[in-house]
Amino acid sequence: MRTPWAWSMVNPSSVLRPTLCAPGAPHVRDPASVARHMWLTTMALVPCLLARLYEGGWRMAAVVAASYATMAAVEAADTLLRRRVIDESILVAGLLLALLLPHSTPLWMVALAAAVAVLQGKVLLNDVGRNRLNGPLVAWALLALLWPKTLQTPSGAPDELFLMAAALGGALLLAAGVTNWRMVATCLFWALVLSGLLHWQHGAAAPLWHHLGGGLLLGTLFIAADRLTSPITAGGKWICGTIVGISVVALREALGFPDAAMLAFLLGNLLSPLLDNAVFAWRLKRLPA
Amino acid sequence: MRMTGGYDVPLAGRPSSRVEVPDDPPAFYLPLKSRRFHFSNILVSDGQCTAQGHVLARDEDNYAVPLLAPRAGVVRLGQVPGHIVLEDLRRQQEQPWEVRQDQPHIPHRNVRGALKRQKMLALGAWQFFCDAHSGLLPDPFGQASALIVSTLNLEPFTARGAIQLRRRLTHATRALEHLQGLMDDRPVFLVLPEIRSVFARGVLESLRGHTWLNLVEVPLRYPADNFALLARELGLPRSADGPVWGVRIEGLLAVDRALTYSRPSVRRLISLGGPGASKCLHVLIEPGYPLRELLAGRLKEGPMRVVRDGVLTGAACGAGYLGIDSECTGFTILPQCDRPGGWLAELGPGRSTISYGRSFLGHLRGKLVPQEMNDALHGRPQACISCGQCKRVCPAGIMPYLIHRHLRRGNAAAAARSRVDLCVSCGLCSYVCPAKIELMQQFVAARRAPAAAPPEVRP
Repeated sequence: MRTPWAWSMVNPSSVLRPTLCAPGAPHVRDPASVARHMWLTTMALVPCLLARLYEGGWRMAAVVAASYATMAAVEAADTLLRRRVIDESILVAGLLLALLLPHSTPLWMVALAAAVAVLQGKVLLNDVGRNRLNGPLVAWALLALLWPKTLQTPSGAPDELFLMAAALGGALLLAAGVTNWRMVATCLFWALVLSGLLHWQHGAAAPLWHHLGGGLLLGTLFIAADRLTSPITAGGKWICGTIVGISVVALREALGFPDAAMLAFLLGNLLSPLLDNAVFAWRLKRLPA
Repeated sequence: MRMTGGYDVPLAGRPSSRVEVPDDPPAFYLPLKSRRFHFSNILVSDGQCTAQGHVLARDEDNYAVPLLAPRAGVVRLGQVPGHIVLEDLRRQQEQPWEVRQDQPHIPHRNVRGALKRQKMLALGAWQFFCDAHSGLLPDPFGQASALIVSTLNLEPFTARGAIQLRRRLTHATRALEHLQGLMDDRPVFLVLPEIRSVFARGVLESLRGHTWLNLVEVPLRYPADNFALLARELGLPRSADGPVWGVRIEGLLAVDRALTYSRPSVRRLISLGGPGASKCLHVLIEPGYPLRELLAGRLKEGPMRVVRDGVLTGAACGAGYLGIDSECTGFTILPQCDRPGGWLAELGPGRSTISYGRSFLGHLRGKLVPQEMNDALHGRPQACISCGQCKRVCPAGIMPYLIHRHLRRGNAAAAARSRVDLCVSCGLCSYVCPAKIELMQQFVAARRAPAAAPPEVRP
């Protein structure tokens, strides 16, 4: 049964599940879908959003609205021009981008970042799932490159409320199996070990600060462990998590600002295809002749 | 045997152990095409009276496998395209094979057990054999390097081995003895869910001294009964030594019928189940039995998708499928999905939804609560999101997402290097995929395609 194009355009499958049938064998399908995963991720971000709204008030709400509005506009234009289907990935991307930016960011910058995120993440590559770099992360990096002063968050004690919210969302994602625990565990473990060593040897910032400040927890849970842009193989995840965890601490120490964690995540994204290919080659050798 | 991956689809409507024999229909419709065979050489003429068990047609491409008449009756050709219709049906005691005059001389006299092999072929027992690696019909006069006998049918829902074996254990063990005679010193493997069970002991005790079986224990998880997987796990590769034969219980019973009684196998046990069936049971039936009469009174209300064989690898029966074909193992009835899945269906906690992953709360209830599934896709086809579930569920140990990535780019050579040939077409990757990618169908097509890419040349 084919759904009419106009109907599927106004009906992203998460709002009203479409009446598509399995075209052939297997004739039954698992109830889980991409839409389900996207909604779970969005719901996991809601506690973080509430924490940021509590802190930033209406200004933060405006940032979120600007991010969503721009992404929806780009997505709608793409839909009209190329007859494609709107999907749920902008739910996650729009919220994640808003959470990465400080609430004092000018709204036109937010809009620019949102457009970059959705263009890079989805439109140019034709569908979600073809991107190698996390859209909101690339948008953040662009803003950080062009206007570094705007993005600097005041360093110091991490915001406890936000951390608890991120941990709550992360727990939901890990329990639902949407994010991969290997990346999260290795990344946090190595960041803790290395920052502990530095603290012990050189009296650098305390490990807890490293672990939690500057969006490390949010980034680890929602960016580093994003399945599209992190390695797909378990071996690749262990290695990538280690590299990201170590480089988070190293870059922060070298560059001296807490948001250097984002650069480590970008490095992880760039490395994941390479790591995956190495694991693929190793696995294929072990298959029976 | 240990198996990685695999999954039991929690489908409701498992056929019970009750066996029914349906009433005689006015006519039989014998399809000339089935999954593996195409009976193109028709040996009867229109209006001819035929006896039960006589050869109606042969598949010349598959070692002249015969299509046997399920009843005595009058043949009608050309009445329904693609079918031989039998009217004016009568039950009749078949004549033993030796007495009948229509058998040609026996070829391959020098092959060990040539007479037995010819009997198996002529009496319809050979069609139950398959080459474990390719799934095709092996040469009846060739020598096998090993024989795998599976007592399991794990796909939902095919006729279960335990029910076929009920009260027929002696027949099956006798067939094992016959087959051991054909195998020389090549090994025979008997696949069981538990090798210490009463059943296994019964088999071993009833075999006489000259039969030696290797018992293989497999987990009761789909697709542990797959012959290609079993051959791989038992260390039986494709070799010049001969193919690995695979046969299931229905084949054993047919072998016993052919070699002990010299009678053709025209009846078989098939299953009838699924969420759309009002009675889930087994049926003792002949090929050619009209599907409409079989399903009459056994379906629930509403539009249904009738799937021949298991729900994961079977084919949907279209309007042109009139009678049961000679390879059918059962029918699974699925309600058709005709309504959208509900407003904001993706947002609910899913307290009673059982999924392979953990994204519904039903995960906490345990894995195997049967579900009233229908043929809904539960989403729409999208690009791969790299969730890796296909790799986790794959019993063959390959990486479906990697092969899919190569095939999407049209790189058949890279797909071959990623070992698409190891795929056993169990359908589980397509089942679990949240992006609803038709992985199994892509892999089947990739394996069927000729190796168009030239071999890689390196200095």
